[in-house]
Amino acid sequence: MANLKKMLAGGFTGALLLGTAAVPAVHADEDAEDNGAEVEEEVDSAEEVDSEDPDTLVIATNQSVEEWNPFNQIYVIEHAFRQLVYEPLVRVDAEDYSPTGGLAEDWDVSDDGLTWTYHLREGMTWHDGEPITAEDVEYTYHIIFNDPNLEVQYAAMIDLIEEIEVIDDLTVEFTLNRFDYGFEVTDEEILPKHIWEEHEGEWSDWANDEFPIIGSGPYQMVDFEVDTFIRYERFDDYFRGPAGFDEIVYQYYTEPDTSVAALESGEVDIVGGLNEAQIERLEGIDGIETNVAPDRRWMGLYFNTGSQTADGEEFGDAHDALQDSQVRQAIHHAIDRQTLIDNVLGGHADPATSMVPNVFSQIWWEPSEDERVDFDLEEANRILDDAGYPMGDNGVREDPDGEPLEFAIAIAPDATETEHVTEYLVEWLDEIGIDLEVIYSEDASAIFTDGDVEMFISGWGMQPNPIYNFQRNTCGVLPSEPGGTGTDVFYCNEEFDEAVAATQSEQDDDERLAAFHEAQRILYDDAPFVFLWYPYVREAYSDTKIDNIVTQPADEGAILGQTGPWAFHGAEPTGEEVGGVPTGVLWGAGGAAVLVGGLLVFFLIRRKQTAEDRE
Amino acid sequence: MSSSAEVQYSPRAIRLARWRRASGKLWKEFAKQKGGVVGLIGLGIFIILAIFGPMLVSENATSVVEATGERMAPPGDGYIFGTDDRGRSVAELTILGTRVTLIIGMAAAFLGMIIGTTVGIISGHFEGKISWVLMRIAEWFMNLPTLVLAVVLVVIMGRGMLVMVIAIGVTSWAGTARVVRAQTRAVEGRPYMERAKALGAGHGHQMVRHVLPNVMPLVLASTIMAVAGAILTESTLAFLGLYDPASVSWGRMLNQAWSAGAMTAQAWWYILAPGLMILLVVLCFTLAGRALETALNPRLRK
Repeated sequence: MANLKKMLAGGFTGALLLGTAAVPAVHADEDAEDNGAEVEEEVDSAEEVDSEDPDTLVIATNQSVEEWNPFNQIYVIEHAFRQLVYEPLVRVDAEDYSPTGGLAEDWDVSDDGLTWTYHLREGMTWHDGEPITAEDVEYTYHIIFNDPNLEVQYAAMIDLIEEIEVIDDLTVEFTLNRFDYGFEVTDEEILPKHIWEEHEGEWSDWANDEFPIIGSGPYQMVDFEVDTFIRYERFDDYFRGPAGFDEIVYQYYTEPDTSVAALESGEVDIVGGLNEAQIERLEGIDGIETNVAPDRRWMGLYFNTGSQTADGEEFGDAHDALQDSQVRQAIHHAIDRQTLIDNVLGGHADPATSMVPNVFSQIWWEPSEDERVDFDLEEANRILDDAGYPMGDNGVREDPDGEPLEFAIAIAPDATETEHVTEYLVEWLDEIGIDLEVIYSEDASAIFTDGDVEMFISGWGMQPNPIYNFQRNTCGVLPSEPGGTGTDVFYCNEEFDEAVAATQSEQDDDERLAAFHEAQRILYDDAPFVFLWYPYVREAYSDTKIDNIVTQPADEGAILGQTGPWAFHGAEPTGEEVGGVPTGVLWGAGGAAVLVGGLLVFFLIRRKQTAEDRE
Repeated sequence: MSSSAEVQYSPRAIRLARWRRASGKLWKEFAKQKGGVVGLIGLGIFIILAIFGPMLVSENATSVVEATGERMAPPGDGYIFGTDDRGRSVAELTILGTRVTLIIGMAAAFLGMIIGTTVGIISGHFEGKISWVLMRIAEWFMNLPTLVLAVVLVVIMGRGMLVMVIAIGVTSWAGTARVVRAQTRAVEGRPYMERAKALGAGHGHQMVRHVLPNVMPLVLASTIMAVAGAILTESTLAFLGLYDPASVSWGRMLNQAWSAGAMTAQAWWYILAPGLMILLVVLCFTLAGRALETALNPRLRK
């Protein structure tokens, strides 16, 4: 699991896999630098978080950072770290996810689509003042090509790139083996060569925990304490210009209600991942702005479509019936997305049709009237009857071998939404003669990838180009050993693989779009997943403290969890003092102060008098 | 007359008559304490609720699909205690929760009592090493935070009602063991024990026939109070998310209320109903237990 990183952009898997961090508390002042200014900053950073400082942006979080090495990161909070600290050559913009310059100011591509030349911006430096050059770009790919641990993870990229050549300090040229649609926005963070070459050959084993971590982004990561806080400090020489806030602090709140209270009292400035009740409450409060908007994520029901290795060795003891697409389609018919969205998410989601969220409207696919699967328990029962799964005496169907259709779903404890969905699933499946057992486990995801349960609920955060997640469902990623983490549901369908390949290799725009649609249609039809919903972000922030919130996409989009540093780079302090203490309390405190002051004066006078009297 | 007198002298009849007299006296002492009586009546109501509760509520009270109410709707409109975040009746769920809560609480206290009594009598009866070792184990359990140990046990053994009972039972017996040991020592010092020994009674006979009946009343009182503790522990575990997924309990309701943001939504009914029930049932057990203890122990009477 620890090797998935890329493009995950923090999936729900991450959110569900909350665990205790294995990273020890390390303070920045352990590694003193020769640079005087640096040392000063480090000393400064050891202080407590001052949430009332108008120049400190405080964000509530509850997810542990397990890795600082970008190659090993998989969680949402780690994704946020990379967006703040590192820059790729080209990234997607905040407006509508279209490509925009990162370290590269501009770039050109040859007519055959095989040679890409990137021109870096002039005068950029790393956080420690070293210049950023084409050598750094070349070295980043040197790591990817030479670290054996990264071989599987980057297989597609290694296969794609033929050669990387440094033309001069600011120009680097990539030669590809074939046309690839996704190459333009590779979103691979460029790492500082002068830091990483000290770990030649063992890059992915290095913890990258020498603080401050040297990157190129608008903030540098200076200090953290496990599950307590993470502190970023502004990098003044950032090439897009310095960010608004001096500091960004991620502060840990284990209970969502506590973080809401903290937002109300001004201890925290941005809170994400809210539930319906919290959004409703915060909507009515002055000085707090809520943000409910479509997101680039999907949530789905995963089926074990046949856990096997690449060599065809089957493993795990999940029921074989789910290898039959008829059974999966029947379950698809037995799920009422709209009810789930209304009751589990308070309406804050759109029904999902595929892996591609509807925010990526250019390639999103919607089933036609004929193709659409509607909630219909009778139809589901009919499909199962026809497919040869007769109803048994106890209300549970049997497969042709007489095995009852008894399935299990693994869910993680404390996953409130998943648990709620599961309650519905159990009842709906009961209606169509399928018995569903719920297994609670901290290792829910591992139980599923080991092939020991039939179902699992999870999802991913997507990038504009869904290729990474498409590829997770191609035959090529079936595991070499039992226990598959590279594949989502052990799916292998050559038709799908072909469509996926065409989405990247097709140079014609219309043909490529057709391939994107075809790939999504196959998944919907063959149902290795039932895509449940595209969740909305549910965030709130203090608008007395923050000016100029940038969402992605610009019109109705997310603040936290963006691809790129846009929200954090764009946010400006209003400069208003927000003690966060409600007016009532202030009056009360004022009154108390007056009273205490009065008493004090009274006693002082009295004492004075007695002292005088004594004379 | 003479034949009936003969019957009265059979050992069983003597025991029965003594027992009847003793329990009559005990009840008289118990009935003198108003709190105890109130607790006992309360317990009766709870037990009736636990037994007949499922018949009082609609058949699909726990169904999320059949739930007809709004999400977290306030009391009124056919729902005396409003609805939960799934649109189900809080009142019905609370009634259903009685059974699980009582079963787990009583079974766990019972398990704790068996372990505690056994350990207490053995360590009180045998002096020396056995006693020393057993008491150190008891102390270990006593000093270990019950809740933490129970959490660890549930996490290791997996969720479920039986696991919950075991987890609470094995972590809560130490107090009983200490009390029973003290009482055993007192009983062991009485002259009739010496007589029994002289007549050749073995360890087993002494412990089971002589010591056990004499510590039993004490054990009973402490068990009843242990139920209160066990219910609290059960609710706490469930509130922390370690509930048995197959059944409704008050602690689980509180857990769901918490994670659904009932606090933020100010859905007081969702928290109050199960919370109040926990409070009342614990109160009833404590009142009844205290009263029984007082009735048994003259020194506690005013």
